[in-house]
Amino acid sequence: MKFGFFGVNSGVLAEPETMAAVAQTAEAAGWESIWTGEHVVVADPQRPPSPVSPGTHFVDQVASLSFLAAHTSTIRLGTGIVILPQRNPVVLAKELASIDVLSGGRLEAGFGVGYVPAEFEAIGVPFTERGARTDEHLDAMAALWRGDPTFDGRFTSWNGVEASPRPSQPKGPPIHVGGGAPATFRRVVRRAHGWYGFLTTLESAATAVSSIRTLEDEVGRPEGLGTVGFSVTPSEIVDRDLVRRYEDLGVDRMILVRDFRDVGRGPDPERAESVLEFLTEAPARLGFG
Amino acid sequence: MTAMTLPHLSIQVVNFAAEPPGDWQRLSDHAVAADRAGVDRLAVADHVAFGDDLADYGDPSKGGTAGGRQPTGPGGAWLEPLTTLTWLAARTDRIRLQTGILLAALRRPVVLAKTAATLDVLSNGRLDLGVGVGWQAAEYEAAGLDFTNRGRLLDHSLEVCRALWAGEPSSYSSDELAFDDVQAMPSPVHEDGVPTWISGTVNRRTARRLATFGCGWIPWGADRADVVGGIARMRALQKEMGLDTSPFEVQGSLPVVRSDDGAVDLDRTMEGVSALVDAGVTDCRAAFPLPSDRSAAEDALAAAVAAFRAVTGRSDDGISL
Repeated sequence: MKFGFFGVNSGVLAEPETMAAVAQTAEAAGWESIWTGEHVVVADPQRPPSPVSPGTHFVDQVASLSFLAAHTSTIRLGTGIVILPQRNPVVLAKELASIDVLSGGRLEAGFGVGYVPAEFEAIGVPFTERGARTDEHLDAMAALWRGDPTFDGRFTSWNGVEASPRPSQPKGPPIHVGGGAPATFRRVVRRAHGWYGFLTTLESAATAVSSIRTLEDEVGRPEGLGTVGFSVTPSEIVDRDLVRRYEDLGVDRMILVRDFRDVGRGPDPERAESVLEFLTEAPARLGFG
Repeated sequence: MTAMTLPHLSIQVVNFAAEPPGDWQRLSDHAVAADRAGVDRLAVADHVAFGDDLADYGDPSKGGTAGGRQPTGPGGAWLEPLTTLTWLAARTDRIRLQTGILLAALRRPVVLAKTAATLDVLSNGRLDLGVGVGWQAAEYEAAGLDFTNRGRLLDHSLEVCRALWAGEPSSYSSDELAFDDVQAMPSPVHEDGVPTWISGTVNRRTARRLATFGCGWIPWGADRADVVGGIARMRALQKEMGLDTSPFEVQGSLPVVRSDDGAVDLDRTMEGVSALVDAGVTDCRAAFPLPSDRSAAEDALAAAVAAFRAVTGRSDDGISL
């Protein structure tokens, strides 16, 4: 089991000195990875289905991971997740490749489709196209990173175009796709290295694992993507027993938070101090580091 | 905005390479050297993608500059500038960090506003967002955008940035985009947003963009080659158009003079400063040749900074943030 920490760009941690301290503390304590989250914009006043109240900080993930790449040397840096249809894939491919290069190949790239219509409206992307855009954007970024000179899609196309640098990791950063819908599971099988479940229960994770393994047999797994990895952020408090149960399901990475209330607010040095303590004590308690 | 009573000295650090450089240690070393030496500002450049023909860069009618040649071919590696500046922000303390320039319209405007604000916060307010429309149609097309509409696309991007940077909640409406009551954390460090520098030649569109959105002007083409005349032309045009004519910063090239043996002649280089400053240049951009070694680069830049401060009468310890 690998252990990651979620939320390094959000909530009580979202200011530069704290973010750097969190990344360095996690690296020193033996955490495998740190992960960012996102809502590019939040509705103010809050309206359903947005889970985020005004004032909640999710600072930009690309900038955050680039900043933290410079403050660390070995820990892996994950987006957990980027709402891909809200991005321009050509620009995002360049940004992510730059992070991968500047970090010495430490990027883990997580993507999702999003689910809050007001956020899509503000960014100017049709909500109904989110699934189709996600699939095509994944293909477009992979094509740019391979150096394909042409791409002919519904949303993106080019002919005779190059974009360097390519990622430092020879096959590009590992791609993780988040979500719990059947379309997500198909996307994982066809286009990603792994699945990322957020706020999972043992039951929901078990469903995802079995659905994805069934689909692997039914639709086939492209060569080169390898075995599907399973990463989760459980909704419950994590102890050694829960770690063992997730391990038994086939989960290979747990991306933890200290307290979900740390995410839904703004910078708070006192609570940030408790997060640093958690990062230091959790490895011994959970058996890693 | 930044305190801008004194002329500043700036350099470009190289975030591109004709061949993959293996690592980007020299980029980091030169930024750190400039920061320690007291250089006021560094800049990085932008290309998201290249088409296979770069000839338009040398054609002023296409948005290029006469005689312009790209420093790499289409396969050259160009690190994304906002990503690069955030990486450099983590390694520096004082130096201002400028995109010089960012093809801002290629980014989704709401995402750009957030990324720039985040970089501003992570650098403790050191970002100067330099923006321009660029010269390359292939780059816009790859990003799914209409090159012929690039001026409006840039204005739209800056309008969205202004709306989201102003505070919360924000609303915005134009032909391109409309939203109501959203916020995009974080807010930039400075109350009036990230300082924005507008690049372009003296023309009505650039003049209006500068008056509307800009704290500074990055002249381009013939107006960069003759910045003294360019400033006069820009001020006259703004006046003629009835625009806000309050003072703006200006970046100007300070040519590096070499002696017969090829070494930099700092005294003669700095003789060029007063004409620039008298004409209204506030940021003197000099392309000093820099050794790869960090401490040697720091020594070279420290000597340049000392000479610059002597000739401008500055006795401060660098930019106050």
